[in-house]
Amino acid sequence: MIDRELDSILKCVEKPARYTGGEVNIVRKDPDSVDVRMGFAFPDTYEIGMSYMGMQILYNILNKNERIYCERLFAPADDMEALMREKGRKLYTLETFTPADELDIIGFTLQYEMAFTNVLNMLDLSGLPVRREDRAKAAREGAHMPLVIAGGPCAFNPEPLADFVDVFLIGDGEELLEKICEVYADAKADCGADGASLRDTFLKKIAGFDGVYIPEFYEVEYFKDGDDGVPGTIKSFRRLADFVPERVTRAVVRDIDRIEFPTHNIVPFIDTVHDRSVVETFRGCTRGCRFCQAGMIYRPVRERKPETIKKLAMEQLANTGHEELSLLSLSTSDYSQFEDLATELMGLCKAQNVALSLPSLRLDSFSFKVLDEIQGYRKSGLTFAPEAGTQRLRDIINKNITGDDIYGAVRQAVELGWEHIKLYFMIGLPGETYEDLDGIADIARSIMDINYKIRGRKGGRFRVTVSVSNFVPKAHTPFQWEAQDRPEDFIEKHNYLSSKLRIKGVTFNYHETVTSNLEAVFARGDRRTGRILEEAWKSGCRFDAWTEHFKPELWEKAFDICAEEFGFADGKAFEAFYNYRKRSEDEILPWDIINSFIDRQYLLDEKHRAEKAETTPDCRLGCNLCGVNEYTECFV
Amino acid sequence: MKYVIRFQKTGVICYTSHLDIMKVFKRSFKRSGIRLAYSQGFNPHPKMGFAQPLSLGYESLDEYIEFETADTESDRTAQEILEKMRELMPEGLELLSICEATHSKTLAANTVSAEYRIEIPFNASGAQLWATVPMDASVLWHEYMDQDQILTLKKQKKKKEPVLVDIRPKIREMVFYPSEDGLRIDATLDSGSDSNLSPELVITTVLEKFGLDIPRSEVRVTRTKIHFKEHLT
Repeated sequence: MIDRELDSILKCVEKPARYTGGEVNIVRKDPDSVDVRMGFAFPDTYEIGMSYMGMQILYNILNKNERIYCERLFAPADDMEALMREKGRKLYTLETFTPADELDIIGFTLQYEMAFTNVLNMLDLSGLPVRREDRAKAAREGAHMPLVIAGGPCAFNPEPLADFVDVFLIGDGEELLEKICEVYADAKADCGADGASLRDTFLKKIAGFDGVYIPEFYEVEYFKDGDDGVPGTIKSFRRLADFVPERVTRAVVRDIDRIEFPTHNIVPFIDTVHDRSVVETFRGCTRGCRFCQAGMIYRPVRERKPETIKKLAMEQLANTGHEELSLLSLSTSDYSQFEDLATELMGLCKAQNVALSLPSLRLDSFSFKVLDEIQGYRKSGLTFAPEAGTQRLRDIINKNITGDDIYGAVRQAVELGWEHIKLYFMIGLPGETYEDLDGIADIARSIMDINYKIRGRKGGRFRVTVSVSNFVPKAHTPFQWEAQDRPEDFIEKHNYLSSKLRIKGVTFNYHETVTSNLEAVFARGDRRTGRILEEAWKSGCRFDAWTEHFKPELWEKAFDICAEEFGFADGKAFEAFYNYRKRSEDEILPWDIINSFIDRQYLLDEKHRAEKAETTPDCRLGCNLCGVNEYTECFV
Repeated sequence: MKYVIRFQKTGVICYTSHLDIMKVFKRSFKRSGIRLAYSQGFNPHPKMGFAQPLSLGYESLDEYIEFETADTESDRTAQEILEKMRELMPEGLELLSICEATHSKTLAANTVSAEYRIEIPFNASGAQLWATVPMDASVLWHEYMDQDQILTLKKQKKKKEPVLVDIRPKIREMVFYPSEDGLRIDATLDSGSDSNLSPELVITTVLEKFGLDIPRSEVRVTRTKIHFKEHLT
């Protein structure tokens, strides 16, 4: 399957095993024996894609279906891309080395906005036109064109990629993706070799499904100068066909305990970001942090039963040989039977020489007991995410953690021997002042003081790491209307914090500013931002999430080119339109086409409460009327 | 119980590093339920090791891994271990045989030399060479092996600057053959902790000696045999 040419290419690239497949537990099928061939595409390198559990979940479900063969596609690193282009080789699947353009469906998972240029690049490397119109035209003319679909959290604002993707799948993919593949198989059987009618038949058949958004059937109109609305904002979102819904309702898996979860995970040969067994304990979150998109779009909370979790964990370990087990959810300790589950898993792991890792624990006394036991004398850092430096700002963002919570936990941690505390904050949050930044330094200093008090003057090798990220307003959150800080604001705040955090034993890290501002454009962008993506990609932008590959000057140019196209003064004004403008509450937002189940009024109420620094309690304590239970049964 | 498994590494798996192959074995043992003996100390790791590392991209027909189990022979015979592990190996790692380890020290310390097959496909520069020595590889052998010294630059472990070394004394045997598409060399080279020669240096010096302008990525290397001081049973 690897020919001479590929063999010699592989001898020239870094980490060739990224491109060879053949790992333990990959699924082998005879491609001729199935009705539909799908390429699951992760728009980043192999090491990152293979750490993503969602891919393993869907790979497993699709391949259990005899009619479907799901294979994997990843973005080749720049050395591999250069050689592929030089030799004219197309992106290929790792299972059978099939060129991606021969597949029926290519499905991208959209996990972060900064991977969008890689989506375009992977289509191009597959030998396909990047724009969906061009592919549809080629299909009408008789060429075989795979259908390009995309899902994942970023599909909740699909518009930036609407000109490149044929179909978006919004929401939980487990049931929807398999159904889509089956409908495609049926359509293929009906239409035979006629590519044009296959595409039309298929799109019509799936148009009414929950979770299906087909951008070609909608047209967007924007306010112009002189119109009765802010110029450049959306005037209308019009359906072009009556068989598509006015708004697309997100797909939801009602009972995740019943749904297939992988037990034969693919085990990569090379080191990946996470190389361990993972079981998802529950989906959704009840805390209602106002900046958090995941906390909104994955509602309601749906749990797996403890017996199911234990069974899945043990089967995965037995089938992979992994040395580590981790639990996956938005907030580990919120699992309703967490203490029992953790205790049992600890015992099971210990018996098998397997390390148990429990991310995002709420630091109460039980968690300390667990952490102390699983980490023993080799304690890793203890992480807190207060997100904001003062109680006022934490109330604004509805992050229900108090100074007492933090200091109480730190005291326990120091007493139990932890020597490294990691703190996560965001800057640029709505309502933030410099007092809130002072608050960040105060927390770091107070933690150092606690350590001195307990351990004496020297205090051992105790360290505090403060990591600050830049707030990016996200769609479908109470902060979706807010303006983002400008790059110069972020830089000033970083500098301010750098001087404030010159404290012995405290390390300060922060994020690249430009990337955060760019991420924000696509997090809330409309269809026009797709042009920016296209220009940036054409000029050579790829792997923008990687500092070493990020090329701000090319992006700037892309903004300039597109600003002119859409009647903005310049690139800066175009960017400002998306990022630095507070949206009015009656503005039509690009992602309003998606019904995430969260009521608009709830988001507005939350926004207003934030403006008054009022908190909203965890909805386990009583329903906050977010709207989810109108569509599906809610937890509790 | 200590065992040695002899195996092959062929096909795409040659692009997985030897260190990562170790992880494959480790996980396969875990999956098989065969319990390995662990080292003592703060960071216990299973007792296992390869005879010799194998460069990324090389295939091998003769690899050895030694390991110590915490089980006794009554739990599982050597043959049962082999059968069980065979089922779990990814494509390209073929387990050939198993024996009880009787050697002293480690396999690595026991290794003295290794045989390699080096295949160099000829392009225009190769065709030119065959024109001067009409397909007679023995002429090439003399030209190469009759040198008093074969000097080449070798990267040192700690130093930045490569050092000029003479590789001639470490070449035990070489045979040159004309092959279908170029030249094939079978070479027996020092291998192991006492004296070691990487086939890479042989490839560089051969290409240089005969003025062959062939990219390294076209050359294929297979380790065909490892020789030990104490024979394995």
